[in-house]
Amino acid sequence: MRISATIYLIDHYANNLSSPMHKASTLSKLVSAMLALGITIFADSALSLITGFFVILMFIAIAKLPIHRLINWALYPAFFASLFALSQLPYSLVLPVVTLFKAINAALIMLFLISTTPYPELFSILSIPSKTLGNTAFLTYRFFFLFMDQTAKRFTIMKARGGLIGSWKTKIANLAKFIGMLFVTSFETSENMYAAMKTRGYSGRISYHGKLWKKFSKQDLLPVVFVLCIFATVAVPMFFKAWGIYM
Amino acid sequence: MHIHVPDGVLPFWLWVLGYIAVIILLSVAIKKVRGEEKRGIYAAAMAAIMLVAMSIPLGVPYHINLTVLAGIILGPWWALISNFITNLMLATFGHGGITIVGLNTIVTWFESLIGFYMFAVLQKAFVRKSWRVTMSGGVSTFIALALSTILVIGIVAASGINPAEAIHHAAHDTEEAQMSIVIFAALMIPIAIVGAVIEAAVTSLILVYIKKVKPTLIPG
Repeated sequence: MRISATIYLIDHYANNLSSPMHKASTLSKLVSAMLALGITIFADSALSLITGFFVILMFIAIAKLPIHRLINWALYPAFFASLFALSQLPYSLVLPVVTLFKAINAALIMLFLISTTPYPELFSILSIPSKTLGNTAFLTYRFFFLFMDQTAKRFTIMKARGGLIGSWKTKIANLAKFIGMLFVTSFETSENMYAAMKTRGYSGRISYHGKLWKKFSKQDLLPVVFVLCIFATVAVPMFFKAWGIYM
Repeated sequence: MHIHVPDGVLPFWLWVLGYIAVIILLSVAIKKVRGEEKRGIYAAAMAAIMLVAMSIPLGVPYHINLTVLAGIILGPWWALISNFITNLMLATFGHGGITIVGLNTIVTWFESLIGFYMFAVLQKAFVRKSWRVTMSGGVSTFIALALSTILVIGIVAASGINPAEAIHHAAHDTEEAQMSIVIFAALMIPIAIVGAVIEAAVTSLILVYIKKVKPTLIPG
C-alpha cells in the first residue's frame, strides 16, 4: 500500500469534491460514522453485513466518491481479515463472511468519513481534550505534504542515480542516508516554520476552527439517514435474532 | 512493528483496555511536555516522517517504522504523542483498524521507550568510542523491536484469536492460520528478527548521518 498516495487522494477528495455529505458538519459525520462503526463491529449476521456493505456503497456514491478506489483501499484490511476468515472455515461457513464484511464495512465507513471531511477538521476534535494533541495532529498533516514533496523529488533523483542498485548492504546504506537527509531537512523545515510561527505570536496553541464544525444545516440530515440505514439493515436484524424473531 | 488486525476481530475488552491505557498515558504525557512547544513541532515532524518513511519501498514485504528513532530524538513522552497521531492517521484509511489504535500506540511507544533508555545507557557505556552512535543506535533498536515482538505475541495470546493472522506479513495461508501460539511464536520470531535487523541497520545509519550533519538533535 502506498500510504502517501492514499493520503494525497483522500485529502483531495475531502477538500475538492462537493456533495451534500461534504457540506454536512464534521460533528454529525463523526458521530454517525462512530455509531455506524459500533453497529458494524458488534454485528453477527452475514446477510445484514452484506446489506450494510451495499448501503455504505450507496452513500459513497451519493458523496460522489470513486467507489472502486475506496473498495480497493478497503481490500487492504480485508486481506488481513481474510486470513482470520480462512482459519474459521473449518468451523463455520457463515463466520468467515461475518469477519470479512465486518473488516470491509468498518474500513469503508472510516474511508467514507475521511474522504468527506478534511483531516484538520476531523482532528480538531483532539483539541478538545488537549491543545497539544490537536496542534501535533494539525502540524503533522501540514508537515506530511511538505515533506512528501521533498521526498518524492529526492527519491526519484536517488533512484535515477542508481541509489537502489547493488547489494543489500549498499541499498540499506543509501536508504539510511536518504532518510537521514530527509530527517535533517524536515527538522530544519519545522524549525523554520516554528520561527515563523513564533514571530506571529505562536505560544503553543494553534486555533483551528473548522467552518463546518458546529454549523448544522439541512445537509446534516444525510449522516443521520446514513446511520439510520446502517441501524435498520445491520442492528435491527440483530435485535430480532436476540428476541427470537426470525424473518 | 504494529498489529494489523482489522476492526471487529479483537475482543471488545482488549481494545477498550488498549484505549484506556493510552488515554491514561497520554494524559501523563501532556502534563510532562507542557511548555515544550518547540519539541512539539519536532514531534509533529517526526510523525510526518514516520508516515513518509512507511511509504518508501524496500523491495521486501516490510516497511520501516522509525519508532525507536522517535524515542531517541523526542524522548518518551513526545514519542508517545507522535506515535499516537501516526497510528490514528494510519487507522483512518484501514492500515490497522480504528479499534486497534490504542494497542498499536502502546506497542510502538514501548519500542520508543526501550529505544530511548537503551540508547542513553549505551551512549554512556561506549563513551569515547568512535562507533558509539552506530552501535548504540543499532543495538537499542534491535533490542526494542525484539522486546516489542514479545509484547505483540503476548497481546495476541491474551486476545484468544487465531494468532497467525495478527502480525503484518506473518502468515499467508490457512495452514499457518491454525497454528498454536507456540508454533506461531516460533515462526514469528525469525521474521521479526529479520525486520529488526533491517530497522536497526537503517536507524543506526540515520543516527550516524544526523550526528555528522546536525548533532544537536541527538541526546548525549
